[in-house]
Amino acid sequence: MTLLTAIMLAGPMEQFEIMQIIPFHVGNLDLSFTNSALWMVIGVVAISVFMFMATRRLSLVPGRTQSAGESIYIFIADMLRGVAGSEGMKFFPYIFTLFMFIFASNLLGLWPSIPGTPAEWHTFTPTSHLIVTFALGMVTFTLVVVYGFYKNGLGFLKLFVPSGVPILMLPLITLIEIVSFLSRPISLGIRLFANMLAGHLILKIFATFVASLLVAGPWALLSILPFMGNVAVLLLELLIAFLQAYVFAILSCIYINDAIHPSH
Amino acid sequence: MADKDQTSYEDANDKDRLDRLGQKIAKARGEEQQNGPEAHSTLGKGWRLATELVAAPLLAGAMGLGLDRWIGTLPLFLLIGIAIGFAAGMLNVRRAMKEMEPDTGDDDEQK
Repeated sequence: MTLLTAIMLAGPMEQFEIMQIIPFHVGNLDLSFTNSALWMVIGVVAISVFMFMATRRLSLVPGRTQSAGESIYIFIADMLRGVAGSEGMKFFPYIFTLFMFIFASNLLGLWPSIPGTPAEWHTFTPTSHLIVTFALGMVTFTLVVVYGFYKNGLGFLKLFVPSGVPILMLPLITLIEIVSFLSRPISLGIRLFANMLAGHLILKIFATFVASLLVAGPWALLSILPFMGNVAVLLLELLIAFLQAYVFAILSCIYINDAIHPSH
Repeated sequence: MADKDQTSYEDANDKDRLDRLGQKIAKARGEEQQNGPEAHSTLGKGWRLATELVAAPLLAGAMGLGLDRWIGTLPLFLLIGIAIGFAAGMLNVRRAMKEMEPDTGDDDEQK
């Protein structure tokens, strides 16, 4: 019963609260180790353990873990080569890291919290915060801008000047192209963040329905309906966890391709 | 001699089978690529287009607002920014649509 009331009393937004685990301040900067940071670390450790296991005992006929690791490698490599050509393969480590980090964060956030543990240790999804996803988008954006100028010099600016536009329209079109270019990290960030936020909100709200119905006497029978709804949403969330990591990675590939071949 | 004929016949047969297998694999691969993760989910497409459309007006509007606050011409650059942002959002959506369906929508780009 205490667990049920706890579920009912907690608002749907409480799962996104940032909580300090190890407070740490430098001047006015708050550099505390938070639950968000904890789950990022857990994600990175999980990826490292998985990739270490996958590459530990390499054999010509791969075992289960090895073939799982290899298929992820091939999946990302094919995607990057398909979008940005073989020249884009020098960005493979970045795209692979990006995909694995987002995927691990999304997936681990779906893990249910252990009942009765303090709120600081509850499951947390780092990618459900706009600043995290936006920062990831900015890394891609910075990479594209820096590499684009490094590789093409000022020729990179051709990206903003489409060919075959009348001189009169050129300033306006260029302005629109620049805004379109600058909005990329924002749309990358908003998409991932909104997907994660919405999914976790729906899961939580359905869970509240189950708990409320269970304590409502004979109505408890009906609680199976939101419960089944929650199972369905969780399955959908598993798909979305992968899909959004994939979308983020492939869009990064497309943007990197712009830096390699800047002509439209 | 008879043995040799037999093997060459088998080789030809094998080659046939290999070719057929190759065709099968290529066909399966093609189907797989069509049903890639993005094609699977209309939800994913919807999210993609929605955020592409929304991000640009947000950014340009915020830039316009900042410029207005700085110069002191409040509604002017905010409105211009939102208008340009909306145009850029439309451009983003059009590009995203073209990536999703590479066969269509190429015509007006060449004009």
